Amino acid sequence: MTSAVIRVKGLRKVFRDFWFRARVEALAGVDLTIDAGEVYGLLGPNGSGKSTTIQILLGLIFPTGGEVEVLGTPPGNPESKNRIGYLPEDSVFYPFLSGREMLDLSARLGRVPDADRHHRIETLLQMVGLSEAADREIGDYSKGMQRRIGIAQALIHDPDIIILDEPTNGLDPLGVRQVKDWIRGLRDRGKTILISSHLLADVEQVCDRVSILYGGTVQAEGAVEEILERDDRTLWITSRPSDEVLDVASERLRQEGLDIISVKPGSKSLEEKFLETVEEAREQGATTAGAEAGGGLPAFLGGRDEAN
Amino acid sequence: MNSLLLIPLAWLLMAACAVLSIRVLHRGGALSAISRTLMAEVWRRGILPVGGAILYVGIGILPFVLSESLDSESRLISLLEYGQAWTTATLLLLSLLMSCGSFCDEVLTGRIRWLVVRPGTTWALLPGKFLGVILALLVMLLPAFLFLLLLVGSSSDPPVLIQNPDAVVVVVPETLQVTDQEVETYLALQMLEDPQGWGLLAEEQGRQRARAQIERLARSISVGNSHDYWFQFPAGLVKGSVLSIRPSLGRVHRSERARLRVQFEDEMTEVVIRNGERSTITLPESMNGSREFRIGLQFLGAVDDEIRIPSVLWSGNDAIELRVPDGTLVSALVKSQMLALVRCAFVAVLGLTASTFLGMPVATLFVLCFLVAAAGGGFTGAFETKETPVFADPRGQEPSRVLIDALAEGGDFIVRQLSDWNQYSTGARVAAGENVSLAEVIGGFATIGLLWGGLIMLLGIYICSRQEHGLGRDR
Repeated sequence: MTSAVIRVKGLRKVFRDFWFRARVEALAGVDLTIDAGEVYGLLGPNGSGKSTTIQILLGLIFPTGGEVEVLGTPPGNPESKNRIGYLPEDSVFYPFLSGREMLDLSARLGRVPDADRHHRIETLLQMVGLSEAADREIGDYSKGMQRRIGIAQALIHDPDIIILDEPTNGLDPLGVRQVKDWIRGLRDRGKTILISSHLLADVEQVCDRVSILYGGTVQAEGAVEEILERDDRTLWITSRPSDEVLDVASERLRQEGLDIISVKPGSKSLEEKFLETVEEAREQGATTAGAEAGGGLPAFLGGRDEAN
Repeated sequence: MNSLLLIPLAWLLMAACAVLSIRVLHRGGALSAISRTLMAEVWRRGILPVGGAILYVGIGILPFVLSESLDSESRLISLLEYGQAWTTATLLLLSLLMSCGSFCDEVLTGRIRWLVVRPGTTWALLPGKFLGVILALLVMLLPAFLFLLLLVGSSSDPPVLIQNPDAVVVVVPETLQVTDQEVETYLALQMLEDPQGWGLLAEEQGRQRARAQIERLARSISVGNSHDYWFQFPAGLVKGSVLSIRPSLGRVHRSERARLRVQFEDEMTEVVIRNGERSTITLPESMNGSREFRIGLQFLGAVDDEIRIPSVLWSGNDAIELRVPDGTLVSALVKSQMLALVRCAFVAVLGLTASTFLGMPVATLFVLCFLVAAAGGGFTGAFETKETPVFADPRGQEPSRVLIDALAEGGDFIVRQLSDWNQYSTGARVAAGENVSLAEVIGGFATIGLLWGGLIMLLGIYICSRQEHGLGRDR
């Protein structure tokens, strides 16, 4: 049985100008319930209210109306804050700190005990593939490397809820695949993950449930399979048939009164080709100044015994 | 010693201290983490390296800027005075730049959103940044202090640093400090003696006239008359204490000399005084250890019998003072630097709090206005009432009038607080060889640092915790 860790009911937010005149109604009654251990996607076009919802959940801005509960407490509660990891949309970290120093700062602000700090920093640097670049200043990092350090800082205090705002922004396809693997891994370890993203394909692959916001309200919500299901279409993927077999099958389908909308030979996606090429280059010993391959989730995430 | 050679040495010492402090702050919680980040910011972004260079170059070129014609003592005084003033002014501006710049940068980049979602940051953010600024100031101040000390030490022969001469405590006579009680007593006596003349005056007008008359009585001695001046010095007089006087004989007698008889407890001496020139008279050894004592001054008129000078006037609070040796020059310099640091800390708190709700340019302007007002006494007198206030029936007062009165009261309050600030400006006093007492240092820490600084810090934390840090403002 799952329990809700985030509850939002009738959430409203009106932004006002200097003279307190209502300028824009960003949220006009949003209802959301996110259960523990699920990956939840918050979708919608620009200005639909995704970022506003996330900021209210984090206690950054205050709601105009409605009820919000995060881990059973109002947003911004110091106790619940320590159980939330947050990756902002923009990589806004201190450009004059090195990657290692940034994680150190994040750990200390996240009340990570001194004894665990060093170990966690090193394992997370290894996970995001920045061990070699850890002592370079973040200002010298590429956008993708900054995103990786951002993901590491969001995880360093082993949070229960992880809020990721555009997590794959600026990452190469290899990084995108890794982030998706990490998200699935975190879900398997019982973490709740809230993702806001424009990259619908990524969201589709990792999210259990999604809601689509428009005009400050939830327009559609549910499990990904449910809301994407079409009862008027069927997609087959087979090994490549000969032309004769294809003709026979097509003829038979037409006889049954079915429309064939698209038949095309299978091809690799550009992402698959990209990943294959990079893997081959790595196997041949090519080096890079950017992020390395990285690794799996460290043991401390999910409350496992760090000593093991 | 060539002061130009000391510039890179002072800079290197500052660099070593900065790097060391960044390493030392590697442990600890949120407060220490934020302080360390600010130190790293001001060091790696060039504020400390450039600010330090400006500070040390300014001190290093002082010996070349000062006129060659100055004698050894004047050079020493000028070095101390300008050195202290340059150090304080540079550090004040740098503390403003570091505090406002750092916090405004967090808001401008949107990093504040990342910071405030971390647990414990709400309360640690402003104090952490404040401690970082103080540490950065200390890192710059320590080499500046040593640099100044070396320059002062090598500016005379034998070196002042080795000699470390006595500083002095200045004691003014009580009769020059008119208390409210004295004014009330004098007023009551005058009302009894001359009820027609004094009784018609408004209450405040009567007080002002009484105060002016008491001051005039205490500050002037007509020819042939004498006046007793009472001193209190709880620590007791020590050997080398002197009476220092600066008489005013009037404009028409500016080049004349006059005679003054000085009566100590059991000794008497006569001195020749000049208009506006300071004279010192060594106190007899029999007075050593005295805590409460009287010194009588009798004005004997001009030295030249043909000239008549009607009276001598003691103009200003430093016209008659005792100078009692206490402490050393180095200790006075240290205490003065501590008070300079307190003033910088206050500016840092003000800058941090202002930047929680104002942008960088406005916040800087806001604190700069305070600095100008406080340093130059820009507001002093602006709210003082020139005329005796007319008593008005409050029932007949317009609401707007009440509001204006309240604003004037507020302005008056601010002016009184600014006088606190000026009170702890000690550079010129140390240069003149005066001691900065421990009570003053504690007073400065308590008033400017703890009371006002603390209140402003709490206000800043409150504003920061109650503010929205979302994208709303960017829309």
